[in-house]
Amino acid sequence: MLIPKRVKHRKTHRGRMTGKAIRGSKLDLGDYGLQALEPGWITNVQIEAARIAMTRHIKRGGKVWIKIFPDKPVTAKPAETRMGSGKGSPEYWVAVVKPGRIMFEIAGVEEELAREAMRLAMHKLPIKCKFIKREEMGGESVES
Amino acid sequence: MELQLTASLREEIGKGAARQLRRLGQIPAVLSRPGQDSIALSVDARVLGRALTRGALNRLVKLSVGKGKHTVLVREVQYDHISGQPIHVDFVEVALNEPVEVKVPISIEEDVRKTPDGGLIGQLLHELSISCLPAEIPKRIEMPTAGLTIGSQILVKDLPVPPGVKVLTDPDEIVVTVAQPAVSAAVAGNEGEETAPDKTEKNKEE
Repeated sequence: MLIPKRVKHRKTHRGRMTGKAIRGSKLDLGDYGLQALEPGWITNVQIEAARIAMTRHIKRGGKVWIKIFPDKPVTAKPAETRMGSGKGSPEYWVAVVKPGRIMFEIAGVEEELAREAMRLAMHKLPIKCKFIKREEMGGESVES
Repeated sequence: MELQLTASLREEIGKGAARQLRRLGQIPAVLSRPGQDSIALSVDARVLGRALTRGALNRLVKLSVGKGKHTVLVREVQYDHISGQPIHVDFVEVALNEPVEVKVPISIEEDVRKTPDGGLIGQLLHELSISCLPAEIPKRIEMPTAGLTIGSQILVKDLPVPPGVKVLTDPDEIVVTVAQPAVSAAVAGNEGEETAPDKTEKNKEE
């Protein structure tokens, strides 16, 4: 499971997720990608579930890249606790994803296989996504 | 054959005016001219879309602006990375007898993804920087994959480049590598150490 080795601050504010992704919105290493269409927090468990779904589907061959990292701690208070007494303890880690962000990339497989693998991965994630592929001249072609 | 595009002069600049144009079905554009001021233009979105699908990038385009005509190259097209629609175009005026620097795509011949011995072809470099006369810009560089085996690689200097084209990319840069296929899914699913989320602080309850 993805988790930071060391953090400067154990607890962070929740922050805002306005706007679109500026970086990481173009295919980098792979030929196919899974692009976020909504903002959201993707937990390390969801990332791992999506990765396993993809690698199991493509079996041998192909390569999967995870292009997001869950570096934000999310705290929670225990159940049946009275309010107050400070902030809760870190429970899990999330990656903040904005619309346009490429979260996963695949290379070395046929398009149909990549598309199905990405479809399975989409079901593990809490946001709307779309499948994209590298196109020869300019930008990426966009397909749902 | 040269493509033809018609553009109109754009009076107002800035993001507000550009957004207004896009709402009206126009795409803001800029024509850069060497040694002269650039001109702010707008192009019809549908005409531009058709030109781009016919491969306007890296091809000579006859651009009509009012009564003037310019021989231009489409230098860059900016896309909205969610909708995939073009949002801005950069044209650059070129002289036909002077070489230009452009990036052309590198494509794998016949779109082969695996070698006969089961190796996985991984393309690391997708574009090649070249310098040549505007009329001689190749549409793409086709990369042969015959003879590739696991562990082999193709460098920039191995690419078949048409005559009259000078490659600007580092000749020792790797374009393609052939790797051993990844481990089976069952192993891949369990690979790496899985650590529980950090719960260093004990819950403070009342």
